[in-house]
Amino acid sequence: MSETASLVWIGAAGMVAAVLQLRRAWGLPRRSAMQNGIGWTLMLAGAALALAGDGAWGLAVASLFGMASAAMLLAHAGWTAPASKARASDRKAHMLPQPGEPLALGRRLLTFLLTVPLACAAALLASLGARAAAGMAGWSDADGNAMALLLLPLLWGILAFWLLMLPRRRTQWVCLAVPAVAGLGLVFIGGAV
Amino acid sequence: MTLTISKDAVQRALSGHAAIGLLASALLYIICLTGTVIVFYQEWQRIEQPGAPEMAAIVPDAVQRGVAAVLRAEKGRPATTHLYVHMPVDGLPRTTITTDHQAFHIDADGTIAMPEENAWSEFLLGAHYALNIPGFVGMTIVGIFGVMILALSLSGIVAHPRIFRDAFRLRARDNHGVGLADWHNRLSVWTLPFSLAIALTGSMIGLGVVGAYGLAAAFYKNDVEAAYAPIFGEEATPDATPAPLANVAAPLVWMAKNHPDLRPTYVILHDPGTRGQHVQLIAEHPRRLIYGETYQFGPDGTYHGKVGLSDGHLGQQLAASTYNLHFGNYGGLPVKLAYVVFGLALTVVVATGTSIWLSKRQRRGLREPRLRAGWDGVIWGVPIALALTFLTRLLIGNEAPLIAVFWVLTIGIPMLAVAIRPEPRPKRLLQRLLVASATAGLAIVVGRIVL
Repeated sequence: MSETASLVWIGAAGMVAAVLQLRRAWGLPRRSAMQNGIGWTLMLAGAALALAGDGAWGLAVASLFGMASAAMLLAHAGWTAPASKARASDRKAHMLPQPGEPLALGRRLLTFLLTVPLACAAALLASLGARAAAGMAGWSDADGNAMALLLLPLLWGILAFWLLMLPRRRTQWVCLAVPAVAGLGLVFIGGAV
Repeated sequence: MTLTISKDAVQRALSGHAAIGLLASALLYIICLTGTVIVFYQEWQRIEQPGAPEMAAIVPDAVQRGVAAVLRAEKGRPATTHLYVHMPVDGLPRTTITTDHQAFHIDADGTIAMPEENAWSEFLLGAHYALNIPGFVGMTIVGIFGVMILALSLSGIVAHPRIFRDAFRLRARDNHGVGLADWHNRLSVWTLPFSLAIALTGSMIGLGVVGAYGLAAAFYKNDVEAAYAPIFGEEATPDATPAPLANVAAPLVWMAKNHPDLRPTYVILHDPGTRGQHVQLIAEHPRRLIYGETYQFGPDGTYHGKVGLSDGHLGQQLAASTYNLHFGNYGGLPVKLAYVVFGLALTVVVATGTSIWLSKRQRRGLREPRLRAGWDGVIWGVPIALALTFLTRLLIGNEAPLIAVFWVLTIGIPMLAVAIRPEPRPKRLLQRLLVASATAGLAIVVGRIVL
């Protein structure tokens, strides 16, 4: 086994140890920053070793080990958990109107338009802006284009979440306009159009 | 703009989480379930056509003979623009040649053995990739659902402040809604790296066309191919003047001599039998996430260089890694099994999300048997539809209308549950139907192997 190959397996072992340590730390009667820190440090170290050993492939494989060990601990927890009469959370999502409240269809439709098509457009403009900035900074077309293709769904997902977290409509429009205008500006400065 | 994890923020996150979840739930469930099943894409093909010739490897001259034989069988059809030779690999040890019009399995000596018959596997891939909607519209829709998983993951974490602290607590035996919520929250936490990777790579693949059109409009004078070229390489200029068939054996010989550690997975012949023809050989690099490197050859088999997916720009390597990371084919059977387990977990998370919402409403005294029956129809109806579509393929054959069967059942079962069987709850009946249809499919497959 080559030196880099063994690093991956050491990294995977680190991931498993990290999950076990976190299980222990989160089960303590009182929160211990040190015990939690050991768990997260082990996870970071495992990831770093796997990455150093076999790059992205190593990291992906080591992550699977971490998730698999967590799944086994969960299976054990599920298997051994006694039946209880605890009541589930009844937190209301406040997503649908209460009886007697208006449907507010217009407001809901606007929220949908903001978070789906408009957030998509804003994310696209922002990712194209980032591509233009990368080009001006001397990045290759391959790196710039791949970054734009990666940023489009990533920014859209973050924007959709962020918009739903904002309580006021005005701040939602600002949240959409800032990346869109910035992206468009960069495209005009650094694009071919 | 204040955004700490305050009570208000938690409530807004929960509201957003529920809104996205409910809006996307049924289609997201179909995408997650078909994605889990399609992990075994290679294995499904072997089950569908167990009699196809299999081989650990094939000699280059046999590949050349196979290509020539398939092109002879193309006579009378429009000239194919691309010809793909699937080389035998561990998961699918078959040599299959595909043109624009047909596909054949090839014997180890290069003779045509039989037409390829993998309609179920292709249907399944189409269902996951594009909900069986042709063109790039379906892929884009699926890509949008990938974005929704990203937003759901973020809102789910903010909406549940104790989600990490309780990460190892699973009260599976609790019937009062606690068990359901625990399954949803625990599986979400521990599959989070997997879910984020799957969602991001899936949405990158699905929204790739949208992004490429944007890049083309902004930087390449609307030339979409030019936007992809820096990453995946350029298409050569076609020249339709007839010419002798290109040498596809020489690139395989070159690869075996110069890179014996690499495994060719595909030989692609562009514009065969023309002066513009050229050969690309895709070779798998061990212990890499990239689907392979593209090695380019002229019609006489001389090496012209590689695209750079393995050691070129970081962007090329990143783009080439999305497919394997998404489909889980970078580590043989163990990784595939892990992907099935985590894919199933993600499917359960999607299914339980809506069930939790319905249960809360029920506990608040809202009696909605039809809504509940409809969701039961989705959860159990989709796997029933998959099982019955597979049965249809086994009983009728490769020409069976699989897409129609699947979608009629997928839409029909929940509608029937809502209309005629809301009470008693149809869950048990649907579960029995699923067991019966899956058992029938399994029995036929086992019977074929034994007999």
